[in-house]
Amino acid sequence: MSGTDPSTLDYLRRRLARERQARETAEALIESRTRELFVARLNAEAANRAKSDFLANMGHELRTPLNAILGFSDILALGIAGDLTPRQKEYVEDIRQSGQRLIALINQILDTAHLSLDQDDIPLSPVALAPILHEVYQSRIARARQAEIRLSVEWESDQTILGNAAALRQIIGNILDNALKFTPPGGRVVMSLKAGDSSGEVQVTVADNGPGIPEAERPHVFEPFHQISQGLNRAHEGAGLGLTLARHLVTLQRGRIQIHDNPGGGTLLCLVFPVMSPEDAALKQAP
Amino acid sequence: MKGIVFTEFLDMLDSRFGPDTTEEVIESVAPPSGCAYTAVGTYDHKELFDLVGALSRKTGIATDQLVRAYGHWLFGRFFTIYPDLFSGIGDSFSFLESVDSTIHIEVRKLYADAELPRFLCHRNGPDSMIMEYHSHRPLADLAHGLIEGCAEHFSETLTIEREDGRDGNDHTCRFTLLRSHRP
Repeated sequence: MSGTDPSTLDYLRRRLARERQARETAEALIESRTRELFVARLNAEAANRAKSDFLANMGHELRTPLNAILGFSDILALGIAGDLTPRQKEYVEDIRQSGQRLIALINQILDTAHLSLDQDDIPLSPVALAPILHEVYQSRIARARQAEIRLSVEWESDQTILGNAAALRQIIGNILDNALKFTPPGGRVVMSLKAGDSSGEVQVTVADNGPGIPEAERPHVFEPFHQISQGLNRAHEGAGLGLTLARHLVTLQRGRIQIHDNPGGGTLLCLVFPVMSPEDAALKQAP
Repeated sequence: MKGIVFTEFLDMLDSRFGPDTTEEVIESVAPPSGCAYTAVGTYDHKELFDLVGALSRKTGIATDQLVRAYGHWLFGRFFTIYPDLFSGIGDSFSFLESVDSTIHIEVRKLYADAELPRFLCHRNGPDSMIMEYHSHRPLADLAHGLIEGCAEHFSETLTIEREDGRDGNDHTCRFTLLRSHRP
């Protein structure tokens, strides 16, 4: 440093002092911001918990009176409280159907909200898919007949995956509900279970011959509250949450969900899961 | 005013006029902050005016020209520091329109206390735009320089006409931009 001009040294010292001061200011700012973020995170977590509690309470509060409406309309419809005139039967049936739609919608909204808030994994265990498909089929067959839609289910051999039976029932049920919703009277909906295109995979498909999903809409159908095209939106009810929930639950089970054109017209929704491997089975048996 | 405007100004002084000039300017102004600026801090904008005034006295260049030159320089620095702001934007008018609608919204997310000027843009045609500047600080020259830097960045030729005014306590400037060349 002996050859350095004293004035240069002087301004270098001043620069160094300024840099130090700036660094101290920046560090103080970072500390203050970090503290603010910590408090904000605590507040956000508390708000999230409050929201979860609210959803749980609301679920109970909404379902309880609706169950009474549904129960008593069933009693009326069955004639337990006395005979009804044809017009009264028609009115009671309207109440019953509207109540069922409402409770399905509430369940869907609450399930989606709950999952988006809290659930990023679900317990997995070996699940045979054929019995699940059969259960879902049984639960919707009456509705399909009422809508004059031919509903069928087919599989050559059962397949086992590492999944969650309740979630699978919900996923396949939501997809089937959509298919039934968009298929016109006289149409056909087919559920099937078969080996996947790639080895080690299994496919569950639901094919309908409704109006289909336009190519441009496909990237958006899994977004919350998305409804397919404004024209159809008015004719078909729903919160636009079924596919959002389905995709979330499929992903949690290491699967994927795909939309294709049904070769005969309409939509083919395809769930692809890895078949349970010996390693999966060993993992599940491990203590 | 956010610290980045000060840190970049001192960097421009170093780069264009040399570190000796920077030191002399700082010494002659001796602002309360000591010029120990940090980009994320907030400082009194009068310090910037004092620094520009001192530089003007030292160099003999008018303050409005210095501020405008600084704006021009600062735009190039924005591209270096914040390349994401330019993502998907292909021309100067689109960028200038994004200042209020996108960039300032992002700035406020980081700095809730930021006091930002407003830039209202109205297109009169594909190559003609009015941009209205509103601020409680008299920094239309800085905006003018930023617009010039923006045109240069997109390799465009812009004719810029301006009409300065006041709106209550606010400083305003109506920039009329005519584009005669774009790549």
